[in-house]
Amino acid sequence: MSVSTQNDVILQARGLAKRWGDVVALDGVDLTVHKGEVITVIGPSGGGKSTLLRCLNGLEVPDAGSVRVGGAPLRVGAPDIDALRRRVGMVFQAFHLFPHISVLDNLTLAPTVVCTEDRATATRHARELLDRVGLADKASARPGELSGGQQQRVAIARALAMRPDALLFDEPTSALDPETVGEVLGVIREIAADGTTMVIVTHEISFAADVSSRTVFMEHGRIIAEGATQPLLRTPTSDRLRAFLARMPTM
Amino acid sequence: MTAQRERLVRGAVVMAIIAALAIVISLAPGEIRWALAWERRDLFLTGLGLTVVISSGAVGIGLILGVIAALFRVSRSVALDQIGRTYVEVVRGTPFLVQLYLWYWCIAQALQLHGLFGPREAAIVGAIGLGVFGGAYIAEVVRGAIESIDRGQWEAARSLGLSHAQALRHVVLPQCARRLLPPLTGEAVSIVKESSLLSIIGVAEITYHAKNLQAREYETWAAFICLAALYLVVTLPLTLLTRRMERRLAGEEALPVARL
Amino acid sequence: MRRIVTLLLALVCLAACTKSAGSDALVVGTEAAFPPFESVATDGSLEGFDIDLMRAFGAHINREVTFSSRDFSALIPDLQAGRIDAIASGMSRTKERAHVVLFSRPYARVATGVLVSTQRVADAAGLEALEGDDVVIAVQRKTTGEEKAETRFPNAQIRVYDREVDAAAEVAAGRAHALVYDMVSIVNLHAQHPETTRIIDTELGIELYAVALPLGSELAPALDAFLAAETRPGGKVDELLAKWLGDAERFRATEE
Repeated sequence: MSVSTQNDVILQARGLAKRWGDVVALDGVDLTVHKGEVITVIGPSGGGKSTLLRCLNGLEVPDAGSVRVGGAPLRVGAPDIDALRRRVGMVFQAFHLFPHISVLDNLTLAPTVVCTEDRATATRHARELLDRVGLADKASARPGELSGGQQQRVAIARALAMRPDALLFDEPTSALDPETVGEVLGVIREIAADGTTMVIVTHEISFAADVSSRTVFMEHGRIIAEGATQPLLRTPTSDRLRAFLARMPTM
Repeated sequence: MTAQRERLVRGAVVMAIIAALAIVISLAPGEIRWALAWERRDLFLTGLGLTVVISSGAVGIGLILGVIAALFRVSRSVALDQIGRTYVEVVRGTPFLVQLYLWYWCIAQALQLHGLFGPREAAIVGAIGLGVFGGAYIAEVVRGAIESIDRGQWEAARSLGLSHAQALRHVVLPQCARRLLPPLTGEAVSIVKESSLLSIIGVAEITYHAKNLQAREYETWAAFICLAALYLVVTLPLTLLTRRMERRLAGEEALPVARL
Repeated sequence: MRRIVTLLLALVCLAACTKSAGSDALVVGTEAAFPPFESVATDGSLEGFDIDLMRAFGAHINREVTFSSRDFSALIPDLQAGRIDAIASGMSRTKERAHVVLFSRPYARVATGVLVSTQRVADAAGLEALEGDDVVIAVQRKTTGEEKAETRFPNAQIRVYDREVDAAAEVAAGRAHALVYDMVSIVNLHAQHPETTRIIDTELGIELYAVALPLGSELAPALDAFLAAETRPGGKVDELLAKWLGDAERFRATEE
């Protein structure tokens, strides 16, 4: 991304720390996400990637540090928490679609319940989104009738239905059968190409190299290396990043 | 083929149990005067009607209280949680008989409910007490169902900007409803059975009539065997309905049905 | 859910609407499990000596009388609570009860008797056979039989039952040695279990049955006057004693 100013900062984390008993999940993490950026977060399991992501929209409360959404502090329990969360969409590893309602209703539930849109607008938007993820024909299906890849595409459309400023992906392909990984990555790529701001926690290094403008490498709750994706992955300066990449099947 | 055989075995076992009961009955000292119970069939049916009405009222009260208490218990307010918890522990930790005494001779008396309800006081106070009793058990069933819903459902709802209450109302509770039906019918059955204690305070439900028959004619066997059979007339269909629902849910639900 | 709420509301309305009906009636509480004084007939109506007596009194004072049955031990609490206006349930006048209720003059005089199990008590034995500490005596809760058994047989184990039939059944089954209860009932109970029970030919005392009213009841003078006037040969009380107990002379209350 080109010149970044304070005005186009969408998410800003400062000094995030989080422990689970003796386990340090986050140990002083700073991250700033600018409008239009696609950031991938890579690193070994248990390195704090998911915890960082969950702190960014308040699903986890950090022990120390702060998160700002568009300049406003995100505080769990504060009255504006729900309004701030709407601006940051989340796609989970296990999809978490609402199984009791149709695919279309999965997309329209949040916009209509939190009254950001009337039903007609929400439905129109939902159909556009389903079309965009290639599932227009599944609008009336129940989530349980879909394959894993299809479910994850619906989950992405559901997050987009709230017209968020940024989208967070928590290992979106880890729970999928290998043959459906491609379709989900394809959808994420398309959305990235549209200029959506995204933070993606992933183990797919080649995908990360392909889709993101900036990459963050985390280990033991710290950011070890960070920078423009291509140079970072091609010529890693950090020994630990190099060791991590060497263990990965691709690249 | 195996299903047919299973049905055969089950049928045979039920028959054997009925035969065993018949043998026990034949051991009764002297003749059982079934005619005395038959002569009172109208009373028994009226009593059964009252049993059903009171139990239905109690189930209604229990559902309302149970759902409220369950919502208290899953709310983020410590005070509400403690209110819900205290209610459940106090009610589940004391016998219904004792609660009935407290309702009828302490609470109803202190509140002068006789002036409000007149001769129906015992039935209404009894139904309320029974509802409060059932509510505590229903609360635990509902809470169990809410907690059996995957945490991810909450997180997905909250990440979309729904408040705790909106997530509960639109995402979690609708998913509970289906899973709740079987255990709730179980609670309804237990409420029907507990309603027999209301005979003590003079509610003319079905046990009351059986006790009167026994007291007047000294015919214990006919009175209480018929009483048991009439309770089964109400509870067996509910139990069978539960089993059918459970089977259908198990078939329908793609998601793993959580332990309730 | 909505349907259930509606049902509940309907129930409450029903209760509220019907409560005023017959609110002027005299509500008499009884334990309809004490034949021949009171029990429930096959058609569901209450009948017996006490029922007829209170109906006659109602006719005398020109007031409708309704009856309401419950366990015996619930009667005095419900009278105190104002749920019933009077108790007519073969209730003996005792000093203890007189602290909490106002008794009418007595209308019947019934001895307290002992029914023993033929399995447990030797054929010729009298009351002394029940004095040991291995003796189990069945009584009904809150009856004078309970008090009498405790005073007369301090060593025995007194087992208290809510209902007469249950206490009697224990004796018939040989699980208790004896039942201490009123003689009228004991004669009935013995007739039900002629093989397994025997009546001891010694009375434990005499009980006077009376109607219990709330303390300070304004009904007392009228009731006493009615009972006094009718307790005589040819009077209503005598007529009912003959009808239900078979003998007016023997059961007539002569005191006062």
